[in-house]
Amino acid sequence: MMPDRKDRRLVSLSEASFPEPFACGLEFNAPVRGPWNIVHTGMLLPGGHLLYICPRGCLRGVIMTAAEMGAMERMSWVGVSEDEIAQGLLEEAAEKGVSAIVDGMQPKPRVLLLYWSCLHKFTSFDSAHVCAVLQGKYPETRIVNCHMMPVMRKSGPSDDQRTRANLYEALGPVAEQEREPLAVNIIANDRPTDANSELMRLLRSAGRIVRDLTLCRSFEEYEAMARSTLNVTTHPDALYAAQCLEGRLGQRHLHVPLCYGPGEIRAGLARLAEALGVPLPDLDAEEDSATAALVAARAEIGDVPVAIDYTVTPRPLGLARLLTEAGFGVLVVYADAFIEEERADFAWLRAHAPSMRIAATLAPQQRLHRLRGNGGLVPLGDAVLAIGQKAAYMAETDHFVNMVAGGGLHGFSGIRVLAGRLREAWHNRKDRRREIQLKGLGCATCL
Amino acid sequence: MRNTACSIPTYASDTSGVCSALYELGGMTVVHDSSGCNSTYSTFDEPRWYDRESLIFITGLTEAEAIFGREDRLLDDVAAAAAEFSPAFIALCGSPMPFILGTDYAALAGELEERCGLPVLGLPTTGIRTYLSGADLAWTALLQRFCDDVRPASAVTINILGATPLDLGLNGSVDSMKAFFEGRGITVNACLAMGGSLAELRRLGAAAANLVVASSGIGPALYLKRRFGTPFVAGQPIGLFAEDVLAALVRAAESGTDMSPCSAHHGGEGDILVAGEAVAAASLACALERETGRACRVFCPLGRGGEALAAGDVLLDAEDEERAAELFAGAGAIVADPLYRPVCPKGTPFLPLGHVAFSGRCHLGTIPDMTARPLAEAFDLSFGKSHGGKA
Repeated sequence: MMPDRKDRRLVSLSEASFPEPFACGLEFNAPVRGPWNIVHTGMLLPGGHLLYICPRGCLRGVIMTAAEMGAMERMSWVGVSEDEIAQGLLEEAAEKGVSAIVDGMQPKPRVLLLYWSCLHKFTSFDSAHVCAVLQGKYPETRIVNCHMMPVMRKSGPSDDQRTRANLYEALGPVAEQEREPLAVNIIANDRPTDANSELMRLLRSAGRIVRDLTLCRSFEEYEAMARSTLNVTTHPDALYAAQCLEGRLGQRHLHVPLCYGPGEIRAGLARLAEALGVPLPDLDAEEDSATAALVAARAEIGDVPVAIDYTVTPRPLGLARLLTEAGFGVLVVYADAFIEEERADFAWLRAHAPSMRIAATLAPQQRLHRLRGNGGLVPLGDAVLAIGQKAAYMAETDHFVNMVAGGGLHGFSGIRVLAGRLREAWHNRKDRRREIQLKGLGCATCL
Repeated sequence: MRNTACSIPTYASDTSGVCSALYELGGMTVVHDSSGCNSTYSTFDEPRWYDRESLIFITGLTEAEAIFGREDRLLDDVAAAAAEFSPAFIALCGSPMPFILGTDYAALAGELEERCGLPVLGLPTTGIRTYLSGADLAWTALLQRFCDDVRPASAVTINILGATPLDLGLNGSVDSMKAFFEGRGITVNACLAMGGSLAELRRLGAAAANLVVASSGIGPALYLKRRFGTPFVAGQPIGLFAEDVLAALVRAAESGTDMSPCSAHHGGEGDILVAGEAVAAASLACALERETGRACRVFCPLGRGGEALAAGDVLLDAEDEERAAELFAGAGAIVADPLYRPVCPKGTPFLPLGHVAFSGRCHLGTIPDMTARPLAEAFDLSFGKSHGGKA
């Protein structure tokens, strides 16, 4: 059942629908910039050059992202004019524009990520043809056909998911004898997985070579990822990339999700152990340690209202459940939609914390301070402990955990680290205005 | 001429221009867009976003809505938001996708106006033109709807037109301009639109002259000229050039003649090349000539503001990096946004002057308030040890 159009900003779990608690409508953009966009992700590729062929309005955001990163030398652009659209000259103009840029580059980039926009999609622009022509012209550069098409965000892989997949398209097939059975890739993540996590320790103890784009320092290290035989993903937005690689390079895929339930954590690690052909280590001590860390954090933080948002983890409901079970006072989850993996946690919370609230982050009402508290239903101010930048902004608190996309944490060790960050956030104020406005948390910035 | 670049950004789009122009006027601006325009504008093009509330939203256009022409959700959503927020007016503008779809903004505005009982502006932005175009479009449309029929009360009353943070930054320069004019016996009737309001906008006809501080203000100035006969003066009162602007305003008010004192700089093969928005760059060129004695030439890649330029200045309507590099290569010194440095020759003295419409929030600290104070207080006019060139 579609949610009522009036329920645009706040709903209690007992009344919320899954996976979309709110009707779509006008959207507000909160001044929260930590989550990565496709530029931050694209820049992970060593030796890669990003080239956007788009109208000005679309170019501006990606170029300025690169500018703030101090990475303009890795970004170029070709503008699209109204005349080119009207006269059907988009392909010709794109070929000429890209050629002019590549001709002037010495040395030529190893990989050229060409991004087209929504406008190209709706003018039946033949990007495959243009890429093929350019590939023929520049054989030393691998041309990758990429998209920046937010109009498709609800009807297929999102731009973020596509970009994560595009990053590996320059990997070529390898001969069977070159495959490395003991090499494992962690793919389509945007930051390294914590080296102390059970996942990483399991891979190391199994004698595996672990390759991760976020740790590649050269194109050669990147190319070596083609020789690995197993791809591991932890983030749901990485699944599309894994599917593509499985189909194109025959690399087996295993999803060991970032999650918060002990059973699910154990199940993921058990699948990994089986795939590696090693026994699952005893995880009891790890789980006990995580539990103890949460108990200690709960003792210090007490009944403080807790707000969580979807930018801090792809599993905000899972995190809400973990903390609720540990006795924290989770009052609100800021999210506009949930992924399917959250269904079980949604059901649990609905049964055990029906008064917990889901608040939309895109709702226009969030623009106004006077409406943000929903007449007192959602607490505001420094009495709130926020987990995530959007929660900090919406709840107007300087006590927040500054983390995006899981922060590289995983498993029981990740919970232990997170518990420490909760304590730190509760005891110390952060400069909310400055920190949440920095683009691409973890990336270089000129600000 | 190509519209390509390897090393420099592109200027803000018309969509951002609309939003910036209307930001403080009490309306609700809705951008018909999927996603992207909202974060681009609010992150890079709008330094007021965190600290000052303004009703600016996107429609969240989806693929299905685009294919099936479903504009009913847009109408429902805008009407619902208008009912909840009670804005003074609604502005509906667009991005490249609605442009491709042939969205009829005038028709949508008409329908919304009937449903909401509010003035609704349909602004056919494309996301392809520059912010100057968008701001001009928005203000001119607003003036047509809201300007009252008033007449100048005093010969020394002026309006400031074209003021947005995209061109002026957030450095207090609008307040300084007001203080400068008021201190010289000139009343500032209204400012379009930083620090302004819809009430001020209604009485724009009550000025004896209009001061255009960015070329986005030329369209509104021409409208006011047609409707009220008000002359306009193009120029920013910066540095010692402020006195020229003041004198031109008095003369324009007396004579009813438009004036462009900022076009009095050298132009041609000037030694110092000043790059940027036409009115600002030309005014700076005039101020620099006063204090340095060196001839200045202006390079404006924004395709607007020819009224402000001198013979031999360069006005382009595309952001061609190669052409920019050629121009910089011939200069004895350069005044430009720091993000132009990569296409400037090494060794050429470079004076960095941030421009929000170009470098967003990267160089907000290099945008001083230059109103009516010697440039030497803000800059090293010997052009010191600052050199261009790619690091």
